[in-house]
Amino acid sequence: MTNKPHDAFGEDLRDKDLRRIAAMIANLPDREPPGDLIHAVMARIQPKKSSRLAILWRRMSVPVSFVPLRIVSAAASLALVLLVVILLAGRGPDQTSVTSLPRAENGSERTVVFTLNMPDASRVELIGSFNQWKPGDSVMTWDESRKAWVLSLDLRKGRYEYAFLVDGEKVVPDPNALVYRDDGFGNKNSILIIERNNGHEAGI
Amino acid sequence: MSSADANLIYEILAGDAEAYAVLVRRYQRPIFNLMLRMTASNEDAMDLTQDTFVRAYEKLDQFKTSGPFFPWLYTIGMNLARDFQRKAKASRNALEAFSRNPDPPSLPGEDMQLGMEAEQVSHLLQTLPPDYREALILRFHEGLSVSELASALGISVSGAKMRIHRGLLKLRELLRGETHDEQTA
Repeated sequence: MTNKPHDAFGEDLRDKDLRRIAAMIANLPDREPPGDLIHAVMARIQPKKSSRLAILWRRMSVPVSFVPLRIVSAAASLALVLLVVILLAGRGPDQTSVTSLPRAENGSERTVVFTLNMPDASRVELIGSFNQWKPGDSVMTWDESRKAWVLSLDLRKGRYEYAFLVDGEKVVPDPNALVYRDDGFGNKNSILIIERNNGHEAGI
Repeated sequence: MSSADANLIYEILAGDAEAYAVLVRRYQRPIFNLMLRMTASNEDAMDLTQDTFVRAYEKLDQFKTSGPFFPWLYTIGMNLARDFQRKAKASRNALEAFSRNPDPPSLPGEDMQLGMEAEQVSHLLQTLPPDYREALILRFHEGLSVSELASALGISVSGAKMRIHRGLLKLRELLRGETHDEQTA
């Protein structure tokens, strides 16, 4: 999926016209899938029940490929963070508000940027499984340029549940999360999954 | 298969259904566009894309993690799309829908030998048999290797090479025909 047209041309494409046709196919515009597609799929599936033995067997039957964790210099990491800030500034409300980046100091952690577009709030905090749902630990700051409450956290690989605490009393799920879970008390928690895949963007 | 896909699949099989959202997000675009090409209908494409991911989830424990995930997913999508076409005769409807396009692509400048506007290529791709069209899309648009493409379409590597080559030749022939038609009109 990642090799694009320049190396998709094989030696059999010596004909100039055929190469140009192939280039045209490579550059055909894609249509964006509907925004609710992921939710629709997730609503139709149930967790799998698999025995631990079967899981272990699957893991052992596949060769494990090791790719060294990428070490990103502090300057490069800062540039990446700035790039994400710039990208996020131009995002509409229909896009995910969570972005993750590899941390410079430790490749096993990622810097996750949480944003919430709620200009009427006077205080927004991030609460979740990463801070034991404790208010006061992760207070978000208003970013005037992005018109959003913003907070960056360094998180390890794993699955986290979180929500925003608005003005100290109202629990708000991330409107742009891809997956939610009912907390059993009438609230909806947002789900964040961070993969360990050597530096590629991987959060939801 | 990429280690990222493999890790997710292990987690999903271990009961973490939410991890599947990452795979859906990663591959929803090519599958949705496949369904658009197969049905020429947004609504049908949405339904079939959902069905593809749900079917893949149901069969995930049959997936051999030593191979790449995307071609396997694409195979499921292709099979569902073919079933849909057989039942609803959507293939004919799709072609009719495209032939009713009121805005034929414009002719390119004289320096373009084949009149290869992207819109024109897109339009003519729709007239190719799905097997040839999807071979070209998978190879050049999605960037799959020939062996991955062969796996996705359930054919041999030599068969995949032949489809790519014949598909390109057919497309060139169609483009030349269109350009010739335009010039003589």
